[in-house]
Amino acid sequence: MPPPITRRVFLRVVGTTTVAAACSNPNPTPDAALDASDGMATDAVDAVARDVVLPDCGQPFCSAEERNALAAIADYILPPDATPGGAGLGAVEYVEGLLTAFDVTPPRIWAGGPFSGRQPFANADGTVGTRTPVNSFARWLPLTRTAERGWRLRIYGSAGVMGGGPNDMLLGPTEGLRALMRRALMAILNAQPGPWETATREQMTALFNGLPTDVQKALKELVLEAALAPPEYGGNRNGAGWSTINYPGDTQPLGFSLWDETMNRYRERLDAPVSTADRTPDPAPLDAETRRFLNTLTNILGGRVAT
Amino acid sequence: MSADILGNRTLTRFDVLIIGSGTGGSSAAAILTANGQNVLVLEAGPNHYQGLDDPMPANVTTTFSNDELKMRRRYFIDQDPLIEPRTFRSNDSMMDREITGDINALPKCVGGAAVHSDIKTPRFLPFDFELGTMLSSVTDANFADWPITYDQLEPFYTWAETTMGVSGVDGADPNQPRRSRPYVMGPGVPMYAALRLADGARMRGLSAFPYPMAINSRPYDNRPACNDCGFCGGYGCPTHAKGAPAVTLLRRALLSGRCQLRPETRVVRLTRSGSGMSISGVEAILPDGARMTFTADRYVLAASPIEDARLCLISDPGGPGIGNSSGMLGRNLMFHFQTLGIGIVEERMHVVRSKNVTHAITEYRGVPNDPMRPLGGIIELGGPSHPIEESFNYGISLGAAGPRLKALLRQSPMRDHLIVLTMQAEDAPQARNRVDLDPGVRDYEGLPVPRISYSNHRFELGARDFYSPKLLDILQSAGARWAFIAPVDRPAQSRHILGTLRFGTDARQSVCNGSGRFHDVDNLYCADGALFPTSSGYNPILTIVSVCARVAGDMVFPGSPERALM
Repeated sequence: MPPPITRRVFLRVVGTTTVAAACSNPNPTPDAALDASDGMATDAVDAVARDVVLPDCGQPFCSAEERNALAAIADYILPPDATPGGAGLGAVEYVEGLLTAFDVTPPRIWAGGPFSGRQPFANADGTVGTRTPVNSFARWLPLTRTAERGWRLRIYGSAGVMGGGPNDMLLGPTEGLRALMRRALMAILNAQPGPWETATREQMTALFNGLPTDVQKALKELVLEAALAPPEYGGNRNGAGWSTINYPGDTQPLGFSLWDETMNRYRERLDAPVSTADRTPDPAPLDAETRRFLNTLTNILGGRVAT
Repeated sequence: MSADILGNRTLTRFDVLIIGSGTGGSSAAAILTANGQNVLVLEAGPNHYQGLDDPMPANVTTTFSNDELKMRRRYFIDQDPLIEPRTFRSNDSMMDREITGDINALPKCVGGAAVHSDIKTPRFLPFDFELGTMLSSVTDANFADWPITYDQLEPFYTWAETTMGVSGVDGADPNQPRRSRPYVMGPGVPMYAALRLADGARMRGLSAFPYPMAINSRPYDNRPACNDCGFCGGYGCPTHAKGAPAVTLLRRALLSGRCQLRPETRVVRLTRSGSGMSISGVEAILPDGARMTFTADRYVLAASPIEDARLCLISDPGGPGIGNSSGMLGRNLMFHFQTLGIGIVEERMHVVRSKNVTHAITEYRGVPNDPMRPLGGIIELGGPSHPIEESFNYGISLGAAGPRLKALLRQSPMRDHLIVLTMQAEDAPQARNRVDLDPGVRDYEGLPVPRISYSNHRFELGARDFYSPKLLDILQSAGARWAFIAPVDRPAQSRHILGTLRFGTDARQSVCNGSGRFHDVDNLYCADGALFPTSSGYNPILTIVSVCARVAGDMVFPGSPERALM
């Protein structure tokens, strides 16, 4: 395995409120706000948009009022600037797509593979080709009997599946995502400070921080998944989540090292080298606030900060 | 994805039944079928390949994809901890459990754990097979010699490298053991982050070299050259450029006409003959939930160390477990003791355009009993890749939201600016580190789940303390502005799972003999990392393939297993 910095690892590393406070700033500095407004790559967005088939969401899970509430929370977590926010990226559609996954067959859990059609094949001489594969991400894959059991339990909870969860008696019943989201939406609407359009960031911060901890975590996970998963899942609309963070998304079947059959050697893409530094300027260099955070983190962990 | 039977569907009588289609099971199947044995492979997980048994290479396709959500969040290849949890405790004499959920779970699908691997394939060193003798003075540990030597395994290493297509540079590793053949191909394109780290290592007097790995650096065995898509470790390969056991070893078995593979067929019990000295069959749950008994002359456990031990325990309710006269069944569980040296640099490393690791350092593997060079492990030079996991670090672990969260995602200090050193260090075997059955927690079929009891020995903790400052030195020489160590101990995060059915010559101290056969059961074998008496400090996959090929060879040619390679 590679060395993924998993969240469990990360939690152990940064398990301190000091560091969290250094990072979580409800009142961004002008630097941070300025930084949050650049980095758009419209060409990439257009390229990603091609051939994407957004999922049919079937029966909506939310009422119109609830959708507006969820959209407001999504934009609180990932606010719009020059690039879309959580709502504009399709967070509501993503969440509803997951919560109603079993309304369609196969359920909307696993997108197909191997290729999305967003990237072409390479030519035999190691240059970028023009022929693209079909988008197999747009087809949902059937679940196994075991996987269906797990996903129904995850979405509907112990109360919503025959026989419940395997350890309900010992560990307590599993709350499904649908029930959790009902609880979340009720809490959000009860705390709504007024029309969402006029709510201030301070009001939204107070609202969000007042939600149960498990609800906050679930909302963030879902909004971030929506922003950064392949567009076929309903979020990351037109690939704007990826382009916002300068991330290429899925890259097969082209990849970055192209084999030249005629010369029996690799060719690296000039626009995206593998073995050398990027030739283009960093679209979002580390800002002062991030540097302060990294200083704090490193010092807490007994690491070294170069001067 | 399909639960269809693969291979020769007409076979009804089998010489050998293998439980698990992963690295060890695939290796054994390849050797056994090549030597005239009819083999049935039962795989609990689904099959994400199409045409794996089709003679035309172009017809072998897969639904693995560059999809972080599917592969890393939605349990496409991994078991789902909601219905198949495991439990953990840090002391085997304390409470029932401390944690319930995802504990060291490996991919559960055709191809097994290797599906998620980027298949780094260093060989073990000759002394790795003799640590029982060399480290007998380490108290509270259970180091043991292997019942085979490096020289006995060397022909199987060569076979494994050739069959899976291992790339590398002969002589580049200053600690390279004897090789009878060169690597079958040179290394692929190096990643920028690893080259930066290699420069840092050289400045500290170390030799970084291209990591041996079973990833095609040119077309090989009807599979294409890797194109560095960036979705490698943790992901199944969409193009088969990775020489994963499924597309190399298992496919070879399936094309022999002597192998039948049944996906989504989960073995839940071994049944014994009247005398208890042999296995008479296995009870399995089929894709539709029905139960069926399968039989063969001989049986091979290859379901991973944790699941192997679990199956032996479940199959002997109220007893000590099948094959446990030694009391060693499930014990001496090991993980590689991983220490992450994390550096953050000013410029972007674009690891997303590469494999996760391309270079290694072996000087920190150490020398037995040398206090100035304690036994650590190989150092992987690389970095992380994808943004959903990164975003959770900012959004959930750190509590960021709003413009600051978006700024962190754009700047990506914890992904696109990371350079990472991972030490895969020796994990001292301890009898108290073990797998047993949780007394309360059950899986979706109502079966007891495995319980992991594990804590670290001062042996590996000392090695971490010794080498951590040196990792920081390398990171700083490589240009890291921020550098720190991120230990991960409880529960161990490693997916290198070893031990539980260790093999050895003394039936009082081991579960299997030097041929991989259970001391106590005439026709039951093990073929996976469960056999390992010690963990070494090198990635285990090539040694698993080689040891399991040797086990299979010995089943066909007792006492002369290398004849199976001819």
